[in-house]
Amino acid sequence: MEPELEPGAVEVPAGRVLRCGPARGGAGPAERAWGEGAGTPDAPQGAALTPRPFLPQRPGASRRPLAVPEAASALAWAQGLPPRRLGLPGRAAARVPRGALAAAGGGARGAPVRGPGRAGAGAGAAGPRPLGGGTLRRTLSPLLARGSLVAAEWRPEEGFVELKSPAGKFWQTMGFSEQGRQRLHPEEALYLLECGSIQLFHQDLPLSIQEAYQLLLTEDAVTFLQYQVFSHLKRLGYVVRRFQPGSILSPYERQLNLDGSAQCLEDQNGKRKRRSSSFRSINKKAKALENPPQGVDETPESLTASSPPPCNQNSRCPEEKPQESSPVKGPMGPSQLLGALEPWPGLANEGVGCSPESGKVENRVKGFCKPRWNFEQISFPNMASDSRHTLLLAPAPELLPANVAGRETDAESWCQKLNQRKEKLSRREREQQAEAQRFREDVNSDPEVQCCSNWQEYKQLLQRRCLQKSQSRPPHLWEQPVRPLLSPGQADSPAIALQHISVLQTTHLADGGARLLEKSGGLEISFDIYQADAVATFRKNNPGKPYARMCISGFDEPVPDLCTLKRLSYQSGDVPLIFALVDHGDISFYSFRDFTLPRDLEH
Amino acid sequence: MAEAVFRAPKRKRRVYESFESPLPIPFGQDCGPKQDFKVFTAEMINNNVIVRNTEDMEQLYGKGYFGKGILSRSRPNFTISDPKLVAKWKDMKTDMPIITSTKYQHSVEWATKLMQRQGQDESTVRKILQDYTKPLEHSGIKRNEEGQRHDELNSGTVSKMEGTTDREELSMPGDTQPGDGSQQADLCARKRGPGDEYVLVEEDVYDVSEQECAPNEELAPKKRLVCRRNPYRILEYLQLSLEEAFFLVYALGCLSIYYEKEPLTIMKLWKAFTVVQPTFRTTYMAYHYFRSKGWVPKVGLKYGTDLLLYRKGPPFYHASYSVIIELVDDHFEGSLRRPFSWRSLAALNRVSVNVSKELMLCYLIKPSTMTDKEMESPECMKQIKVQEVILSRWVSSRERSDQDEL
Repeated sequence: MEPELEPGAVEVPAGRVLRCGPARGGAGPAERAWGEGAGTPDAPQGAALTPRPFLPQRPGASRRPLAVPEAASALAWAQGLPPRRLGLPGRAAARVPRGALAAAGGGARGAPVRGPGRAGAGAGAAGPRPLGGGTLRRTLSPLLARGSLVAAEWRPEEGFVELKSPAGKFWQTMGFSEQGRQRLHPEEALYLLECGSIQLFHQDLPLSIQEAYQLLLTEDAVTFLQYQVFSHLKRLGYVVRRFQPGSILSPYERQLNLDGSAQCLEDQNGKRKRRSSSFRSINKKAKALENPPQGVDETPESLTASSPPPCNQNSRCPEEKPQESSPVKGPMGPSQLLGALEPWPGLANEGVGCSPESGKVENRVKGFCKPRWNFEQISFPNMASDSRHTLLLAPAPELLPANVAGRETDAESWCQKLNQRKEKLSRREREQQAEAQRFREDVNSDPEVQCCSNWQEYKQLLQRRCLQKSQSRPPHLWEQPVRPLLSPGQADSPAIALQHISVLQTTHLADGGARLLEKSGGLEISFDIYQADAVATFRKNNPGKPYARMCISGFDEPVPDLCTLKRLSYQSGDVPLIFALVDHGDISFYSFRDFTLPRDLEH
Repeated sequence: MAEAVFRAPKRKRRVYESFESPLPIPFGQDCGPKQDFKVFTAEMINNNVIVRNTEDMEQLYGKGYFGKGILSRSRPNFTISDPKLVAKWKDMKTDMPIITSTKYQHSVEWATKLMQRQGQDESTVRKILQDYTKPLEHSGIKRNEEGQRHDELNSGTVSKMEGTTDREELSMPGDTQPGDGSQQADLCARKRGPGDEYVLVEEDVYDVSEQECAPNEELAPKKRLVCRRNPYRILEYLQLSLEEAFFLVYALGCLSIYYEKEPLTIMKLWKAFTVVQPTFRTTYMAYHYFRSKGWVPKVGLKYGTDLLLYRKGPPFYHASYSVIIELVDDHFEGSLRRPFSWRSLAALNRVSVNVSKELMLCYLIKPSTMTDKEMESPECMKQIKVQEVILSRWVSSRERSDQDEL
């Protein structure tokens, strides 16, 4: 793609050395002004890398020996590289101190180099001239660029470039007018400078490309990364302008579809509303049916056993092994939860110390009958290791058979014989235990189980559950606080089934973006881009909707999170947003676009 | 930002399967009001959800493509059948596996060793196996429903002789053979239990007359297929991922998961699965969302992402989207499951584009008012919003003149 060129100007492909022909007639006073002095870019013959198009063609000029300042400046010039190779040297250019010999993104044909001490900028009569800045200024105003180059002056305080002579063809897509004068943004000016369409002046001296990079690209106005993207896109032919936030349509305007692009916001809103209303109805249903979940913290401690204690088994109490002694809180007595359930005696010692109540209990009728004993007053000593209470009192003599004498005992010695060592589990056993802990539910925490007062009832419950399991609504799913979303028979068709299970709502990038606008910092939109074929009809005052908007970032910077995406997309409106990532001169472009997966019903 | 355009999924060139149903539940429009709603069963084994029942496996995979066979690539269609033999005998038109004689001998050896490990003595083992592996008339073998029920005996012996591993099962006849009556009657008498696998073994036919005719020549012995029972059966299970299992339980109500014969409730599953897999809630919510749109999400391990979205199922279309899931809060910020740099995102994008998939970022936005306690129940999903974003690469030079959508 060809850059903007002045008619008649010479175009230099990158990297080629230009051997200029005879001087053109257009080289007027400007050339003389430059050419006379020692400031001509009389580069030494060995500078094959730097095409020098504007060799002064006065006879003998090329044979004039170079003065020392000239040589220095020429040497500096010789280090320059053609501008199109934006490699590592280019990046360094911006930071290079003026006049240093670092490789610069020098121009194919640019302004002559201002050597140290401005020695080469002399103009005027032939021959080496004394260093005189003042002379130069007087002679050079008004600033006139050579040939058909447009002269422009860099205004650092205002941050723009003002054209001193009428603009050329580039004015159609670049630049802006203010107070009757033609102005350019720094990046535009730098680009045109590299193209060779303008000459930039600063403090009456022309800027080299290297100096221009350094002066024009500052951190606050246009960064180097942004300029790289700008020039890359310009060279490809796009029209790139600065971001105009004013062109964002408000949501209202967007709804009205002011610029004719297809928007289906109404449809989306309608769909969303419908879906949300069905959600609400489902929510209400779910809430109405939800029972507050039973507390699972009803500890089984007071239950004393892992199964509902049977009242018939007490007769077997003397034969129990000691290991089955489970903690019973002594003073607390039997739990209040199971009114009629008899707590496990737990005093499973051989012979002696057997619960005196066991004898009484044998007389109990099976089933749910009013107990004769007030269990709240019967205390069972806790023989476990946490709070040992091993002194067992003598049983009441009236409860014992005639020839049996009871006595009190200290069960300490028996407790010593218990194996109290902590069980050492192998790794596999520990894993199994962990897994069991995750998935196993304690039987006693089941409220239905707690309602069973004896073993027979529990068996009946199990039988009922077994039958229910074969049903289509098993109780472990349907009689719980949280139930499946779709009940059997509710789905007439796949579409209805999908509707029932859709509980997650879709949202869009544009939603909620307005309140993020206050956040500043981070990525910002830099440029609006228009396509190349729109150049013919491009009007700067009314450019229309951009093709895309650009955000520029370095490749090593973090990816924008959703917050940033939303903010930027809100700022961008309905124009697609592209992220340009610069990695040492290589530019990649990525875009994040809003999307909604369509529902697939066509089966 | 402009919306991304939905691109139609790419159909696969050769489709070998037929589509049955999008979900493993009966639909009113198909069966009418009286539907028998079947609840499938699965077990938790080693923190994995396994379905063992063969019919359940077929239903769950065939309708909705849930799970993966543990011995197969995707569909649980493991068979010991030798494909070359099947091709050779393809005009037999049978669905029994065809194996070589050598392989059958191996089976018998393994069964012998297994029974010996279980403590049986050699002569008993040999006698049982001889009886079990004798040839049967295979033309009439069908599942005989009105046969006598030998289930109790079968299950009794099976449980006694079951090995320690789950995959192998030795199925034994419960009763003794009442003599060699007509073989048809034998089959009728013995109901085909769950453990019996009938195979066709290709064996040599030794024809005496042939040998007499040409004693000098070495004829290749003729082969024929003999139907026998396989004493060493290898069973395949269907393994469900945690998200698939929870979806079947919670969203459809058609699966019950048991741990050591105790069924687990939904709340228990929600909590337990989170302990097993800490990011379960996030990945489940995205899975549920895509399933509720009618797409089939499968694991995205091969492409470095979380999910792959298929339309209808893997056999029909290539996956269209490769999804990465993130959970953010109300201010659209959150600690990411995988913090991205542009390099890794560019790499993922490149990989996805190379396999013709689009890279989708799925953000789950939870309101900041949601407490941790609310997250303890799957009902919290009702307040979560989903934002899908498609990442694509734009090439600046190509799209200069043609009006491609971005």
